[in-house]
This record gives sequence, C-alpha cells and structure tokens, in this order.
Amino acid sequence: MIKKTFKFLKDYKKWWLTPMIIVIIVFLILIVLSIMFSKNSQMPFYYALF
Amino acid sequence: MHKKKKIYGLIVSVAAFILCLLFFEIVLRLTYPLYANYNTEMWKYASKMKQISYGDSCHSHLPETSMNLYGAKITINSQGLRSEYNYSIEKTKKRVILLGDSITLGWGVQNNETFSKVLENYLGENYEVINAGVGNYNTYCEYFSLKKYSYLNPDLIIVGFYLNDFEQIKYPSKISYFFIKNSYIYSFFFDKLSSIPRGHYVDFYKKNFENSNNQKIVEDSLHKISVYAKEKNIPLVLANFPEFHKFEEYEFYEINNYLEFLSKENDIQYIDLLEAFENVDPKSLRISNEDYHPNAKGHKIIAKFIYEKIHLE
Repeated sequence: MIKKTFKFLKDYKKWWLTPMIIVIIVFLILIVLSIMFSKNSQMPFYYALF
Repeated sequence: MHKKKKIYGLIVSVAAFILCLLFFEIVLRLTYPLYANYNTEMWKYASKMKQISYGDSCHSHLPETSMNLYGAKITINSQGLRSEYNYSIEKTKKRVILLGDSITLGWGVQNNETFSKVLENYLGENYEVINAGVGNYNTYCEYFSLKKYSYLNPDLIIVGFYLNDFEQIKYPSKISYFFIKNSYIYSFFFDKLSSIPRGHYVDFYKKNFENSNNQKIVEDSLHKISVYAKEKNIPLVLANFPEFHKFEEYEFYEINNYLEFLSKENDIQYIDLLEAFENVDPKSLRISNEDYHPNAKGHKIIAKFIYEKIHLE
C-alpha cells in the first residue's frame, strides 16, 4: 500500500508539486510586499469584512 | 491511457492545492499572535462579534459576546450594546444615546475609557449614556439603530459622524460570508493586500464625499433621524469627529461646512470636534502607528467637548 502510494506520488510529481509551489510563492510575495509597505500610514480605514 | 493520466493529474492538483491551503490555514491559526494587527483584529471583531441580518437593516453586534481586541476588552450586552450590564425599559435616570461607528464604540480603548463612559461621568449620577456604536456603521445604519433602541426612551440623541460615513457598506453573499468569517487565510491575504498603496486617504474620503448618491443617503438618513427626534420631542446633536491624521491645514473643511449646513436645515445641534483638538498633537491621540482611531486621551477630549456643548435641562 505504502509502496503503491509512493509510486503514485512519483508518477504524478509535477501535478501535486506545481500547485503547492504556486501557493507558497503567492504567500511569499504577499509577505514581502507587506514588509515593503509596512510603514505606509496614509491609508483610510479599510474593513476586511464589514 | 494518456487521457486517464491527465484526469488523475488534475484531481491530484486540486487535492494538493486544497491540502496546501488547509496546511496554511492551520499554520495561520496557530501563529495568529505573531502577525495580528489592526486589519486582522478588525476582521476578528467583524467575524466573531457582528452578524448580518440580510434584510433592509444593517449588521449588528452579536449579543452577549466579549473579546480582547487590539489590546482592549470589548463587552457586548444582551441588547447588542457595548456595556457590561443591560439597560431596563423603565428608566431611573435620564438617558443619552450615542449612535456611531467604531470611534463611538471605542475601538482600541477599554470599556471605561470610551467617550460614552467619560461623558457619563461628566454628566453625573442622574444620567446614563448608552453606547450604541457599532464598527463600520454609517448614518444609514444609525437610523436603524435608533429605531431598534427606541424602547430605551432616550432624552438626548447624539449622532457621531466620521468621514467614512459617506461610504456604503457592501455585505458578502451568504456563502462567501461563511468562508470569509472562518478563514484566517482570507484575513491574512486581506491584510497583506491592503498594505499595498491604493491611493491617499484624502483622495479616498473626498471621492466618497463627492459621490452624489452617497451624499443623498447621508441627507435622507439624517433627515429621518431628525424627524424621529422631532416627533418624540428629543433634542438631537450631530458630533462631527475630525480626521485624525493632521489637524493643522485640515483637508476636509468642505465636508464640515456641508455637515453644518445639513444640521441647520434639520434643526440639529452641530458640534465640530475639530475645534476640540486645536493645539493637540495628532500623533499623541493614536491607538498605534497603524491605527488612527482615538486612544483614551482622544476619548477624554471628545467627551469633555461634547459635555461643554450640549444643553441639558
């Protein structure tokens, strides 16, 4: 069973690895952007929900 | 065979994407104190302490909730008001009701530091001040709030006004509301995206004010509030909070003049709180460098100024 799972993951490596890399890159970009603009105090009140 | 592999591949991709998001959701929940800030705390306030009615009216506080948000404990009583106790229908004291948004609510300050509590202390033991402030309320919502709490029979109505009251509130659909309010990923994303400059606060507020539809809603709502007050013979006050970035070379005199004119037209007593902050350093009034809501010092100044201006029997 474990062997089969590993083989499956190996066969579909690019299929599961690509979305994971995309999500991680998006997170990293957002973190970098927020650090770059962290001292921006000229913003009005925004609301994430209401 | 090739087609079958592609379908499997797509299923694996979707599953991996969902798993990855779930992983980040867990990580963000566990590490929340490390990245908590104004935006995420406001999101928490909206998702845990507010509710949408999906009718004609506005959002409101979830009764009997209490949370520590942005360094201050916010307690909501069973009537949906920021108070540690409930108000009975039969009153033993004269009542002042404060309608407004997060400034009136007292975002970022303790229950006893809000200008409603300080004003109550100034007024003395014959008065009680009811804080009906709800975060992100505008004049339209405040009219609903006034009707909702009319059973408390106020003797004076004070409407707190802030520049963003010209903004119309957009509520999410029921499905997206469920995800937005439960997702730390959403809160995290919103916070990071909102840090990217999208314009200056002056342009943002002026643009909202210059929208004729927004002005009409404010005019109609204020008129409805004044009609209600006249019918019940209750004095009505409009307390206009200044924008807290800077008081010298103030950018919004046009809006103040407009509100003063509207107040006159509707027989409302107008209080311009910008005058209360003359010679006060705006930096000394902020909750934090990222949050320009007034701190305890700001609330004290607001309460004192309102107390000096209102005419009570």
